[in-house]
Amino acid sequence: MKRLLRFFLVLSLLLTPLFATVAQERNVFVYAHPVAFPNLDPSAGNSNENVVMGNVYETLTFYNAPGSDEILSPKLAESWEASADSTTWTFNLRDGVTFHDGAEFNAAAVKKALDRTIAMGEGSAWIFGMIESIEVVDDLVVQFNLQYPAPLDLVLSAGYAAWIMSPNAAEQDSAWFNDGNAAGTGPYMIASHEPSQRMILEANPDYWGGWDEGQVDTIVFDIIEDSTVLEQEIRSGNADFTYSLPFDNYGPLAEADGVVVDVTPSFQNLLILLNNVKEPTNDRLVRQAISYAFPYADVVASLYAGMGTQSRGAIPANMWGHGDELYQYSHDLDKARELLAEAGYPDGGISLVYTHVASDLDEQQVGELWRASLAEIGVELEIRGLAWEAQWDLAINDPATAQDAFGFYWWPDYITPNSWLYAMFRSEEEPFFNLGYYANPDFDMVIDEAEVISGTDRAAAEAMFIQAQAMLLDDAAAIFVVDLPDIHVIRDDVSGYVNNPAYPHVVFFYDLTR
Amino acid sequence: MTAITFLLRRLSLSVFVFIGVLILTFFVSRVIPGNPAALYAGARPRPEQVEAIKVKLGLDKPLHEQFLVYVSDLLDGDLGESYHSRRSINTDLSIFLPATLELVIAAVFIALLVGIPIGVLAGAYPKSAFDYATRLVAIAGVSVPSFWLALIAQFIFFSSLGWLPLGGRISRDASLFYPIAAQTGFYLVDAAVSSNWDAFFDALHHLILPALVLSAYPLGVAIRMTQASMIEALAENYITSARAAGLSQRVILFKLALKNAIMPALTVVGLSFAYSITGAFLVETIFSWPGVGKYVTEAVLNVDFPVIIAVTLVVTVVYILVNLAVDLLQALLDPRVRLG
Repeated sequence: MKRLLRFFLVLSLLLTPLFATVAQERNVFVYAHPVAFPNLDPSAGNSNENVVMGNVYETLTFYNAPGSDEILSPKLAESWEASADSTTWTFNLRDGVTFHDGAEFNAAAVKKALDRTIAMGEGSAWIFGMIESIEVVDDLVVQFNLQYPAPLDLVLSAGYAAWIMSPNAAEQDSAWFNDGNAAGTGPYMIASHEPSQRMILEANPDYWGGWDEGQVDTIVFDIIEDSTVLEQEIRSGNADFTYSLPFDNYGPLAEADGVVVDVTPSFQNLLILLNNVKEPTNDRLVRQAISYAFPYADVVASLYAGMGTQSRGAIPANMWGHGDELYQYSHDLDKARELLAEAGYPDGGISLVYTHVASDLDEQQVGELWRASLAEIGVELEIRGLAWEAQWDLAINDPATAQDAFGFYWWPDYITPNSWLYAMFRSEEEPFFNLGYYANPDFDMVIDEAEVISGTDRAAAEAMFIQAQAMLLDDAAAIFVVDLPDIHVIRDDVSGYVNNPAYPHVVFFYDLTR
Repeated sequence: MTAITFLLRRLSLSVFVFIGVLILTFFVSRVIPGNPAALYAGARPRPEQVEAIKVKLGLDKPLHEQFLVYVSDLLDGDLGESYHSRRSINTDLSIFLPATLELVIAAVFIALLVGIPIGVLAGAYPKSAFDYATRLVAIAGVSVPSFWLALIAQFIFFSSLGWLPLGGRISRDASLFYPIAAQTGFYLVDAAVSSNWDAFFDALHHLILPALVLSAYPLGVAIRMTQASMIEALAENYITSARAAGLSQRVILFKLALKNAIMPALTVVGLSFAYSITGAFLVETIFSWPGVGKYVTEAVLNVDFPVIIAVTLVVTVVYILVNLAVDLLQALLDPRVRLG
């Protein structure tokens, strides 16, 4: 009996929640993160680890959140200037900055870090394709010589590949970083890393920006893949920040006590590239007709619980290069019929193939809504869900036998309108991402010229990028469907949070206070 | 045959099993469609990047050459690098394998500790209410799918009662305020060795629910096997003489009969240890337990071949070793069993 008693005593001890929270002297912020961090090498990672990179490392320039006066602000560089032809860029670096490992931040460190990234050539490293050489001019002056004109200040603000790591770290391989080692200049340092489970960041006491009272000093990333658990964590206050919940859950969640659901436009959009080569969509009138037969309002309402917005041109709202005045197609079946008749299909009688990634239910939904609408003007739409590789394979092989409409998402690698315009619409001999096979020499000329001046005269470049989009709309080169929303949930006792879509799902913890 | 020659013979036979598994997984992973180089390159790679990576990873070489490179790395003890996380698989497994083993060992321990006494009593009182009840438990344990059991257990012990955590291996507070210094990767051992008792109980607290769920199958097996062999043992003449000699029921059941009855139970539970490692894959995913199961599940979703191959090989080795250990244990416990 005594034994039994003892057994139950031990059992009850184990089962009681013994672990009441230890008195917290630290200002802890918990980010319930829906996916693990794939690659913690700052040169190579180009996925969800950017939230770690953005707090541990820094870039030379910083792309400001929408609503700021300037597009860029200084970060590790204090000032910069370009030569008149935009092929030589000189950056004056911040003085008195040290890396977490004690190494000094200077021009040599910048050269070593970026040379490593370029030499590895992984992830988003191709954004540095224009760099011919990097020269150390002075201890705190670094010069970039480019092979062709480019807006290098924008490139260096990228949320991937542009991070500066310490000269010692630059000698390590990817495995070293992925074991949880790091040495940047950022406000936080990696304190511990339990892969696929948890990462803890701690404040860098020597951060060049200094520290004020109330700033969060300890960051916990809990990797939680189950969205039900994510929601429970943020509702209960166990977590302070999360995203990636089912869209329909945000409405009720916004009503809950203590949480704020933050919805802002992202820099990502969904578009449908129309085959500009193959009959019948090689006829501009047909492309315009099926653009008018697209049910924009229904699609926007049914995706993302209605939190997205219909695209206006290729570039998402809130990004430089977006044209507020650009033409926006609307759902107008009469006009569609008229255009089809003009093209020689008075009763429709054409059939089209729309491909999308099979696992993407949103893209499928778009296809179904479009099909119903097209049926009314006598156009048949076959919706073909494929694995991404198969969808892409079909598209790059031969435009003449490829799909008529290609469902596709785009987001920028660094924040320039040319990311969309060049990749998806500039003439290509071998299709790669121009999967509507659009080829317009006038368009090419405009964006090439805009690119050249976008480093030196951004206002003029912006006007030209908008002009280029007008050409796309006139040609109905693609259907610009919807700008995706960024939706984040944060506890309401935290202040200072602003979503910056240039760095997707990155929270800059240094800005937060509680 | 001595134990040593037995061991050597079995091990040399096992090598063929291992080579078979190696060839099969390697070639299957190379012939099924997919583009590992594109995967390695990350989101939206450029064509020249993909080509460069193909060369870097040796994927441009003929299959047999790739296989030879893989085997020679393997002989050096190098399982390769994950395409998805870029971490060395050796490092990853040194973290994830102990997590899985900790869970499986705990589950089998629970199964033996609870299952054998229950089996003994059920065998001693056949056709009693207790016997029927244990039959129900045993059959349920073996036949109820572990993922369902896991969800129900979470619902009861986390959502309703709030006694046990929902998942994970250690709490946030433990990670923050009394982190475990990793030595063996077995959290209970590491915490105990460093006398970090807060962390020890925290880890134990997290281990209970997944271990209980995972123990359902071996528990059912242990109960049924013990019960069946107890009934057999209790019918033997020496038990009748023991009863005639007036020995207490407790001594008869647990000292005399059990000694003979435990053999088959141990064998089957030993085999279910290996089974539990694969069973842990589901349980780990539901409990966010960062073990090999969760690791390989992620790898499968990301078509991360080096990880899939490596985990298959490691599980093969564990299977082989556990089988061998069970055979040796049998010989050790029962002198009548001859190795050969």
